[in-house]
Amino acid sequence: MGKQAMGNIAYNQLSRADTLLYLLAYPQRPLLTTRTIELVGYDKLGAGQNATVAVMSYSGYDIEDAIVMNKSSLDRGFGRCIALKKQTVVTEKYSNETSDRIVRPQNEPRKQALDDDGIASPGQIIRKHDILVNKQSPRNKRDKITTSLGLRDIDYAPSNVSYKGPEGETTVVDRVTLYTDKDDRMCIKFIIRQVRRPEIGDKFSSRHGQKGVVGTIVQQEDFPFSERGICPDLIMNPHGFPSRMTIGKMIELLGGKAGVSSGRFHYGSAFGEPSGHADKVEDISRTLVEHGFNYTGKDFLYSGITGKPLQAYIFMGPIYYQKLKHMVLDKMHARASGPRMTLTRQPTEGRARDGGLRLGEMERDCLIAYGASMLIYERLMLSSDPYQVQVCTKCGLLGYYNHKLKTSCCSMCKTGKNMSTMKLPYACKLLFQELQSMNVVPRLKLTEA
Amino acid sequence: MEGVSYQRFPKIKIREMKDDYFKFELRETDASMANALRRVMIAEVPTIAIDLVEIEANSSVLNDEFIAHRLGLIPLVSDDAMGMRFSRDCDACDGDGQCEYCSVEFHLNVRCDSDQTLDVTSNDLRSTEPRVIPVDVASRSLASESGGYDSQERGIIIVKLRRGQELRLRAIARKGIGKDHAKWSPAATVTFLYEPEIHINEELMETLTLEEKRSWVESSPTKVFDIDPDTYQIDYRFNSPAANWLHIFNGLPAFKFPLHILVSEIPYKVNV
Amino acid sequence: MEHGSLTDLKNATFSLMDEDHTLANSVRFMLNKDPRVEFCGYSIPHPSENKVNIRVQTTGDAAKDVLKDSLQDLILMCQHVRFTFDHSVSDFKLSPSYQEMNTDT
Repeated sequence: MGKQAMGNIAYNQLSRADTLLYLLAYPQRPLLTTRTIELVGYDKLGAGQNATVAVMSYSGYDIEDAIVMNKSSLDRGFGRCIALKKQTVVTEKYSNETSDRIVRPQNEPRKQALDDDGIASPGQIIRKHDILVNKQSPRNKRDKITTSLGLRDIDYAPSNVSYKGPEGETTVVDRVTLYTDKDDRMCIKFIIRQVRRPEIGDKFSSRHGQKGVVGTIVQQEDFPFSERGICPDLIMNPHGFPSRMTIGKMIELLGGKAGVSSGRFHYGSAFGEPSGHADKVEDISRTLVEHGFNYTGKDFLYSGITGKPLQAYIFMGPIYYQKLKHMVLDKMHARASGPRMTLTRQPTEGRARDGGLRLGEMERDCLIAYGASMLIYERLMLSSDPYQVQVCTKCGLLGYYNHKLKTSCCSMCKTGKNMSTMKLPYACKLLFQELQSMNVVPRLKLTEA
Repeated sequence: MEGVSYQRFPKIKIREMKDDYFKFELRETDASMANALRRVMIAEVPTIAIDLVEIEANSSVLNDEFIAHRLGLIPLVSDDAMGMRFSRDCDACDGDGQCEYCSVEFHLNVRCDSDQTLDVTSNDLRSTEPRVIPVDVASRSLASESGGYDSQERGIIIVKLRRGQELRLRAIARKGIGKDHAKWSPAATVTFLYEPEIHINEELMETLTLEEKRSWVESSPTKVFDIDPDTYQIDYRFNSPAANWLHIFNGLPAFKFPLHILVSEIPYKVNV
Repeated sequence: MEHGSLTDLKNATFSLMDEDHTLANSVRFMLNKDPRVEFCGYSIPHPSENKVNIRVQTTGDAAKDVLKDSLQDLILMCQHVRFTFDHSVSDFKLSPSYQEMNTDT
């Protein structure tokens, strides 16, 4: 319902071309609504699913608001979503009246998704680095074309556009749109689709702000079950309740349970309403008892692992759960070695640039306090930006290494006699040079030369 | 065998049996045995389900993966599942799982040419093996043979098409188990319960007035007890639908636990 | 299946690959029925690994043999259940209540 929840966003959702669009595969109407939701029409476009929730502890993978999911529910389509991403390709025009061209592909690797027109066709399954447009750019983009025949094939260099996405997910070209933009260039829009099932780390939330990530996914046969054969879709830890005081969620569970057993939708307001659309908790309890449930909404469950009854009655019933758009697949990131920034030669920052994970000041403080000097040395220098410099022990300034003469030399003293080699972070060398450019002379005094 | 002394031999009594519903009592054993049966029924009894879909044309509103997922969940008659091979240990085909020993091919070819929306259902699936067809189609043809055919009954809807839309695909059904994917699970739900053995303290009951007895019977929300109209004695209704509601008997003096298994909705016969 | 044990044969832990509570819990039940068993228990060390560790401690006999016996017993019991089940199904099909049920539909 909020802006993070997935569901139907509009009736034209499949004809739109949003940069990023998340849709739920099987959205449902909430069992319990409020009058306002109905007036605004919020329940017309589903934003979640009615999950049977058991409020209990299970397996320890549900601490800190994490939820345990039933694998069979996921197999049957619970929380399944469709992610649509847009990728645009522009055929550039250049000042010398040449332009990019799209050519028919030869039988080359990574071009299996392409059609005869050189553009990936809808319905094709693509992987990382697969080419979407077989585009070529002229080698000479500045000078006027002198030959009368125009450009030949060898005057073009390939400038293919490929799909950059996570590996492992099946990705499909959903739609392809050709259009011209305001500068009269031909553009191609690709809508790329992924169908995802929930995995460990995906975020879910009820409508009471009780958000949590999937801690583990458990087989249905290991899940607790009731004598009627009801098996929850998800297990939520009861520790989420006392401090947050989300009474509304408990009423939703109770009301939802009464709603499904009597086959009606109600309002979930706490006080009941004169319209009779909402029920007070007492009325809900009465309905529950009529349908053979306990008036507190608790059920007698058996452990799916041993088959023995659980020690306590379990508060179980339907709660409207939303899948939020934060999914691990879009966030997970790891790096061993990779790109570095040109200025500082340190690893880049951020997932989009395949960046490193920063060992920040506070982490460094911890290591200092512990005395792990070699670890600090490794993290801050060896794994970051090690650099070898020639230092003049006499003037304390950085010199250079002459590869032809195979000697190092100090440009200040004009001699290579007092040179010494040492390692320091490239950023440190950069700092010295910047200081020098500002007329500040940093001099190094080496204890061991 | 030396261990025979402590070996137990469970007893089974069948309560109800329909094509899609089964209820039986299992006595003289432990919860672990009943639970093992339950777990095996959910997760390890092999069935056949659509596993691979090759889409030739799809101009419907649902995308390819969506349709493939929906096709996978259609239950198929799995009487032949025991004779079939798992495609992973089939040596007739080189692991592609498309030979006659480990797969059944289905075709779907539908196009909507009328102004009305067309429902593509499990009826439209054409199987290459007449013994492996969608369960609802099989039960309907069985019903039509015996005369009780209901023409209103539709199959399982896969997708709806409007004018000009088309769906053409080839699907391969394979043998699998519920542990790998819920589509291979033969049971809608399997559950069991300890059945309470109820002893009514007749002596104490005698001291109650009819009015009190009535209110005592009424106090059970699931109507487990009855008052005998002749003798005004209280009976336990053994077959009341909710006779198994355990915790309402908690206040009662004595009850033992013989085991009772209730298995519901095995959508088709499975040769265990 | 692998066998991880010490020099004394009374106590042993058995690791079964590709098994879960279905087998382990039933075996535990069978083992607990065995008077030779002093202690038995099982655990699944990690949820993403299909492995069961069964611990068996006996009063003197080799743990290996005791486990083998109880597995044998389990097989016997399963065969018995299967036989009685088939038997009672065929009995039930002949019973009047089933005939009645069929004529209903």
